[in-house]
Amino acid sequence: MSASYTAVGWNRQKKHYDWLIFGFCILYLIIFIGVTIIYNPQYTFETVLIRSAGTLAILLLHIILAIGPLARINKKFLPLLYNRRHLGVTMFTIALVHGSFAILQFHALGNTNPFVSLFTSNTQYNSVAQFPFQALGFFALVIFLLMAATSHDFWLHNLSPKVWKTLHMLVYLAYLLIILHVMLGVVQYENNPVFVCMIAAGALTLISLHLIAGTREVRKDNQLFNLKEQGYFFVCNTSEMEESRAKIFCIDTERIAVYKHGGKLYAIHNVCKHQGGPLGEGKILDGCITCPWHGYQYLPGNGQSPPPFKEKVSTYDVKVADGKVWLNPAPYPEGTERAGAVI
Amino acid sequence: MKPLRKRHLEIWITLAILLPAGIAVAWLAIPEQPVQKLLQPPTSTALPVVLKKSDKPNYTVTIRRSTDGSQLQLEWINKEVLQYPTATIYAGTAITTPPQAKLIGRIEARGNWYFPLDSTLSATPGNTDHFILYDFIHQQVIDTINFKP
Amino acid sequence: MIKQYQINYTMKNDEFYIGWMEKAPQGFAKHIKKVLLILLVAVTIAALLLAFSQKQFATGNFEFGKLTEVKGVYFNDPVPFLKAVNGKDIFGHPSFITIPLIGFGKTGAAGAIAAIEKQKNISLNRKQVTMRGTLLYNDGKLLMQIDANDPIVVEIGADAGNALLPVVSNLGEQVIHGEIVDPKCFFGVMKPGQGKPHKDCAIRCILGGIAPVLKVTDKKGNENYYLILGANGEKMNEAVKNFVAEPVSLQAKVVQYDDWIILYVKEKGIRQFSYIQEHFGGSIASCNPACMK
Repeated sequence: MSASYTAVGWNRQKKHYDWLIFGFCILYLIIFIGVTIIYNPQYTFETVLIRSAGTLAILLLHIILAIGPLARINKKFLPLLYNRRHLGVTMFTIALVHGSFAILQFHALGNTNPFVSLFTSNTQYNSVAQFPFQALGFFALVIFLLMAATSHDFWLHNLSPKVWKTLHMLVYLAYLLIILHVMLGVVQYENNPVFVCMIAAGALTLISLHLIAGTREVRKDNQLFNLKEQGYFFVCNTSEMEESRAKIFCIDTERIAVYKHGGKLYAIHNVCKHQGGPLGEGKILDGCITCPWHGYQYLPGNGQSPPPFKEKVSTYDVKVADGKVWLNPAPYPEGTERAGAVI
Repeated sequence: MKPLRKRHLEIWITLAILLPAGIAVAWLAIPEQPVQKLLQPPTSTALPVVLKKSDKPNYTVTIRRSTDGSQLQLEWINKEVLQYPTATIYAGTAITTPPQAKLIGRIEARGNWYFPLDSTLSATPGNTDHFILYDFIHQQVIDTINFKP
Repeated sequence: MIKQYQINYTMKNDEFYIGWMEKAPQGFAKHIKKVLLILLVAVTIAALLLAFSQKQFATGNFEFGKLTEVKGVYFNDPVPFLKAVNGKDIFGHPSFITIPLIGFGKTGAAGAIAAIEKQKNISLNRKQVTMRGTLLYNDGKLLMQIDANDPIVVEIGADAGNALLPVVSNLGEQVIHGEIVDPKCFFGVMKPGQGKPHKDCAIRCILGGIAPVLKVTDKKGNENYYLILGANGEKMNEAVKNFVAEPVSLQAKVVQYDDWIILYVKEKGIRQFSYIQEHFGGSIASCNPACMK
């Protein structure tokens, strides 16, 4: 949104969010390390460090992955979505502590370079129980590193949103790798059923949340608009439209947001230029359509961000006749001025 | 964004299959740990008559005798894992330098250890009343075992 | 404009959240507070559950940072070790402990010993020596790390002669089940020094020259530890690589070597332990000392 990049655009929400992340992490570490020291007195410092960091990172990963679908199911989770990337970078940092110490502990001071040893010590890739689980963790860490390094909006624009999004969707592969890293690693030795139950519960929760959110979205996408006249589709009645709010319609390949503002209807592309947020779930504030994810704004008449900002989205023709709203899904070039349809 | 939503759904349907399968396969693959008859301590029979017994948290020490009285034996049941470099047993109240030191033997892993005792030990009263557990590497007394008279 | 926001924000069903606003709308804030409370409870429970569910760490002590002088006789075979003698018992038998030697980090002692022998132009084998190193021990077994960076040898004495040669007795050919570990990590340096999480490190240590050891467990949970060598006494470091930290069966000649037991493993005598074959397959040759007699 800004014309130049700052490292972090601090505001009160972000500060609160970050303090909470810090507080929760410290709480977890104190409890885990404290209980281990007291009830497992033959501990070694290195093992406690590796385990506390590893378990905290996995816990954070589950929370991070839950935020997306939760925000789709209930918009009241949006405050958690807003600063999710800080959670992600924190999780990566803690995972890096775990990974670095593990490589040091298990591979350093030997007769081979630690990173070579990581891939050449255990080579039983043809076994399940003996599978080199550390390699799985390593690749997951590489994915998290790439994501953390490109988490800033600078990379979003310079890599192009498509490349950036593809890179960041690798988080799902990383999640699978991490689950297998744990199941084929520590769980093979620490076979207390609690560990596998927690892993299974976490996976079940995330799978359920994503499938629930996903099927809801698919239902919206599959809604059919059959009544068509001269390129316009009937989408809804004017009585259903709420002032300063929109309704979203998916016709053919895209979702279009139709806003009611000052007694007129305007239609813009539903996808925010910033990170693909659903503009139709936003609100008009200060005469601007405001994205619910990060607050990016666009003028309803032409789909342009107010100066000095440069983002633009496509606009569409909409007309009103006999209390019915008709929408033409053919997009105009981004930023094209279109007159609103008077209700 | 529809392709993105579609891709998300495809990924999570795939994960809905791979995750439970991976967790189940890994859990079922945990190997069975074998049980094995141990070779140490070497098998020995406890003499039948118990003369004295001292029960401590980490070990049980018993002086045993054969029925006819001709043999004397120290039975040391090591209940907990040893956490010293060495653990040698001496009869007496103090570690004296060789050759006067009455060194009985060394205990190692958990289990039952049996040491024959010289009959001259029982000849003098009180000779089998006190034992010392001693680490000769760090030269420190680990514990003393005193049988009640 | 600001007034308009405030009016809008008090209408609960028309609340709208934007991250860069000073405060979240009341409805959002209330919901998030509830969520944070749930998260607090969840994080606490997770930390407690995970911490309490860990296995108890093994005993085992590595006297890190502390050097101890040990006097004894050095032997090069079957593995580099020091025989530390503690006088004679009441029957005149020598009391001693066999202390296998290991190097710094994930290496065996061979390099450090070779360096001393080269420097002093003398063979240390069967000589009375006083060595300085770092002790590690657990469950009756004692090892010593000698570090080429520290002054290892304090004193080299005369040849020990035949008086303290190890007493060797043959316990026959047996099939022994257990787990191959590296004795350095297992006896004190790492916890856990066994099992899958430690597998890579154990392999690295064994490939670095530390003699592999078979850890066996009986049904009461008591353990024994046997050195692993080849049928002719050759080193098995490379041969065991794909069998470390997993249940295995070794077909070997079992030899009592002073206070250690050595398994001279037959050619192709290592295989993964199979629960099914052990309990339901009768073709495994198994012999105990009584049957050998």
